[in-house]
Amino acid sequence: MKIESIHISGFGKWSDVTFDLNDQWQVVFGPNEAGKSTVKAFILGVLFGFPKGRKAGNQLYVPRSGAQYGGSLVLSTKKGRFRVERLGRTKSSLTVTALDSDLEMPNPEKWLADLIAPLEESDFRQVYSFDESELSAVADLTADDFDQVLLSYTRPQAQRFLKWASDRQEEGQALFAQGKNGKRPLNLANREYQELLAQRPVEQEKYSRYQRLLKEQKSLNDDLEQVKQSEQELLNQISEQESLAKAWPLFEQSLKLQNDGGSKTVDQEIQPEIVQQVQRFEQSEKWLSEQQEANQEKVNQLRAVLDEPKEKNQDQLMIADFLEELMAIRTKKQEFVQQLTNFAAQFDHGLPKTLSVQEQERANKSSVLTTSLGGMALVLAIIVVATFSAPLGLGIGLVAAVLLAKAYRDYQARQVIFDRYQPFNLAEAIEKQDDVALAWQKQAKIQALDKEETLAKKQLSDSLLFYQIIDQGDFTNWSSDRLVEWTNNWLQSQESASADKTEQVLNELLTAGQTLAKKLADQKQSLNQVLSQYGVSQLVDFYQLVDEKKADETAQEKRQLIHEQIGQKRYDRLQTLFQKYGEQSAFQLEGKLKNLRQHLQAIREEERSKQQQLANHQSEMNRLIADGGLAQLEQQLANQESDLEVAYTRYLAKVLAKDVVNQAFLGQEDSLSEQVLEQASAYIAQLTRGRYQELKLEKGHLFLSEAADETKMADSKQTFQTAELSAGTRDLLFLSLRLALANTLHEEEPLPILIDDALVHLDAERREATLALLQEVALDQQVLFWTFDEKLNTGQAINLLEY
Amino acid sequence: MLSFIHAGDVHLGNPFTGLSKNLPKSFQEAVADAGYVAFDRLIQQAIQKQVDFVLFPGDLLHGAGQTARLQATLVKGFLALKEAGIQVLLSFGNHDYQAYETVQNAWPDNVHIFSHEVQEKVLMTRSGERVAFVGFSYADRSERRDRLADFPVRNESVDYEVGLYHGAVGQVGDDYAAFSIEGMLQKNYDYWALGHIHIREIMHEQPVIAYSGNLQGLNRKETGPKGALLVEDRGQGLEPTFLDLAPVRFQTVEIADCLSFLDLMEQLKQEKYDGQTLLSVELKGTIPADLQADQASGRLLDKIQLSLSDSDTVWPIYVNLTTSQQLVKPAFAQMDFEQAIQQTVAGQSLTDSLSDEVPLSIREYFAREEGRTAVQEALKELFSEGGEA
Repeated sequence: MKIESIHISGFGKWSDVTFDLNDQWQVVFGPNEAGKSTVKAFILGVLFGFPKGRKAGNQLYVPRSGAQYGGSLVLSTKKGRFRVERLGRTKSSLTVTALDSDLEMPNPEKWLADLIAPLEESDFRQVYSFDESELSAVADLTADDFDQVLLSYTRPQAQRFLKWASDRQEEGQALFAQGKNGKRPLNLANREYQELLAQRPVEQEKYSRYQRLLKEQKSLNDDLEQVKQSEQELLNQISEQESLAKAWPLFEQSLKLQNDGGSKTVDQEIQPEIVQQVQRFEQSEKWLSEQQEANQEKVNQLRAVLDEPKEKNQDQLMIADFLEELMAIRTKKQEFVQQLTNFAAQFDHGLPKTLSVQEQERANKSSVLTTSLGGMALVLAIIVVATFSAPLGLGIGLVAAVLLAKAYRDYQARQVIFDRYQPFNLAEAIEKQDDVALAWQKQAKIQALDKEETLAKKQLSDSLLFYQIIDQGDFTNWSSDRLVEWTNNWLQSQESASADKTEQVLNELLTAGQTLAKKLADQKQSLNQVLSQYGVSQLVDFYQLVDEKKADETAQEKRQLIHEQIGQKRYDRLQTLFQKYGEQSAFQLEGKLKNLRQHLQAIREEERSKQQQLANHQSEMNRLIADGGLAQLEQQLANQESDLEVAYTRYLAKVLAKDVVNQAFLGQEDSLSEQVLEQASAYIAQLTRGRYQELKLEKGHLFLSEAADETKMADSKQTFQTAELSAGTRDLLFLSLRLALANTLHEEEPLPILIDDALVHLDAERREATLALLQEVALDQQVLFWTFDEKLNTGQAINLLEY
Repeated sequence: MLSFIHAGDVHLGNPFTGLSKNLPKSFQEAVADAGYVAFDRLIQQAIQKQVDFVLFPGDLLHGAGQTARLQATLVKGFLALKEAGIQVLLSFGNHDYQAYETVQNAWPDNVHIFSHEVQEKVLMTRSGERVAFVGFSYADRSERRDRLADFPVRNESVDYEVGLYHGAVGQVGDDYAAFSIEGMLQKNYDYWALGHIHIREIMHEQPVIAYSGNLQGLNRKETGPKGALLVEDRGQGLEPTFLDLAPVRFQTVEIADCLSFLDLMEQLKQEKYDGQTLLSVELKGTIPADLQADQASGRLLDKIQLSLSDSDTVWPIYVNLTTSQQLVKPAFAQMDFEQAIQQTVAGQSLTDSLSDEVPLSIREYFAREEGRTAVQEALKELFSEGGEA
């Protein structure tokens, strides 16, 4: 790329000025303050942007004239001719116009960047822009720095990267110190990890412990099984012993029964039928005896009766008495009845009632008086009524009525009395009053006798009933007459029958008595037979025997029961025990039981303790199981490893960044550097007129070798480190390298080299050589050379004073 | 008819890898319990489905299984199976061969362990069928002998013959009892229960030769549902069905072209998570610069975790950015940074930068390919974010 022309609209001291440039060697002449640096700054500003003024003290080149800041460059590139216009400082606008087509580039910044790419502004400034201050600065560098600086010029971008990589390295080192006991984050992490790792044996120990516990648990379980078995056996023994102890009293009883019974051993069984038979014999004997006795008694009785005079039976006597009584009453009664009947016959109307005193009076009285009085009163009444007054008359009438009524009544009463005593008259009636009264008394007596008769009749009939002579139903309706008659008949018959009957009865009784006696004798014989079978003669003995037998049987049964209750086995054992210990058996049983129980207690204690142990084991095992154990530790370790891997990867990347940069730029074979060195060697040879021929790079240091001297030996080339060079040579070396770089870089589109008063402190000879070289270089690449050397203000030089 | 459970690679006691120690409490507990819970579920399913056998073809344990809880869980599980009339066939693999000696007497008698030599064990099912099981236990870590050759051909006197084999397909003499599918088919068995590979896969149908995969995923590469196989004869030979048993699941989620951190979180929150999920996030396509910057400084995962900190079901453990951008080759550079990174990492021993204080396992990690790759990736991220700044 070459700059064809510069048009400044407003920049520093320049305003609206155009410079046309030579496309190869272009001298720009102007003394100090003529604005040389301004132009250079302008070029750089258009290409890369005007100074922003962020840093204090930066030259801003604000145009004094007040014209629009900026301007344009016309560039000719391989792609054509372009005008690059940048106007305005703070808000600059960039336009890139293709002059062939008059088209504006759509993305001017990019176009510019692409033009210079891969270089950036700093690279361009470093490589393509030389000035005095740099050269002088070079002179001040120490030997080591010189190499670095020189070398850094061979790879300007590398420098930037290297700086960046150094920063990363520092960061890395802040993370991790290589030495021991570092306190940086990664060192601490390492230590944490190691601590975790150290726990591994602890976890393994825990696991071993778990295994041991498992084993112990198993053996404890076995032990416990055994203990339980023993316990069970013991429990069985105890229950047996207890049952023996319980059975002991029964056994004792059984023994007692055995001992008591058997005082009279009877060989034979006494069958129950036999006993019943005997009992029957006894009973019938008894009955027969009783019969015999009764019979005898009756016989005696009858004999007595026959021997003694007959007496009437009592019953007969009684009946006779009653009969007499009845007959007497009847007779009396009949007498009175006869008398009464006779008396009553006199009267027409039967026996009349006696007159009362009143009646007697009345009978005597006459009522004539009353009647007459009554009649008179009546007449009077009528008169009065008719003459004087009715009421008075009526009153008198009333009196009259009363009198008449009374008279009538009296008359009636007398009539009645007359009727009663008919046919007698009143006076006779009164005379007979005493007889009448007497008659009435007899009447009363008859009635009383009736009553007595009834009673006597009853008495008689009752006794007949009593002696069972008549049945009830037969004679309730009988009259007294009939009764009397019958009873008389009966009495008579009784007397005659009784005597014969008695003789008959007596004979019967005697016969019966004999039969009984025989029966009794037979009975007694049979009984004795039976009894003798059993060796007894007396019934009493027999029954005693039966009782004894029964007692024996009962005892035997009881013993059998006891035997069953106890059970054969236990019985045998108790038997053995008794044989051994006799009376002390019970004591022995108790003693053994106590022993067994104590033993049981001990076993149970042991069982409890074993169970406690097992429980403890289990809880510890549970703790160990719940604990994450080795697996958890390994997970933690894995997690930390993962973190450490990530962290160290980052660390390594940081610390290796520099190596990568070096690798990228240095390499074993850096052809670009070689190219640069080759070119630089050529230049230095030229500049030193062949004194120094070769510039080499070894292990990061530059070496300059002298030309072979024909006068010396063939292989006696002298090689000098840059530190060993003179200041002047060093300057030249610097220049050579810079030029070589500018020359070899960016080959596709060579960029213009801007040199600003860079040769000032070179001596004349060196300056000449340099200028010559520069002009040679300019043949390939545009070189703009700012100077105040008058000598160079020739021909095509731009004289700034003219603008 | 015969039915059994095929559970290879239970790996009880094996820690999860790739988790940080600042895992939230609920997940820490879930992770600590995961293996045991999965195992208990396995036992429950076996009893519920009333299978005849449970097969463990290797790697039941991790190492020698020296944790009280582990042993207690196993014994409890085996006793429960015993009570339900289920028998256990078990062989030891490359991870648990050390346990062979110690567990012989500790487990109940319904557990049949295969010895170091190939053995055939004939057992009866509930319904009276005779089943022969053939298997072997590892004697050492690698087991390079040709074990398959020792397996007998199908025993005609039994109703079924099942092979248990812990190993990988390969050439005879390779590690892990290398075998070939053809070799297995030649034995003419009814089913091969394989172990060792942690991914569930049916290698062959009729007869079925299958890996059950591990019971519970252990790192972010073992994603998806994990469990065991229920194998039943429903009339057409022994066929497996998958039983989902693992309580904790690893899952990888791909988010392409997310627009910002908030957008990323939205998308993550909208995903469905089965049970407790440990999440790996892969960002693809165009990724916003701030996310890239966070990733380079190692903060991105922390931020995602913070955003999801109130979730009980999901916890992010890994974030990866796959950018399409190439690392630029800087000016004057001999090579681009990618090459430089590769050469730097390949050229040196990373462990030189790590003192002895660094735990051995970490140093070993960086001596392995895995560690070197991780450092390379980290350098790439570092250079893609930095450098230009």
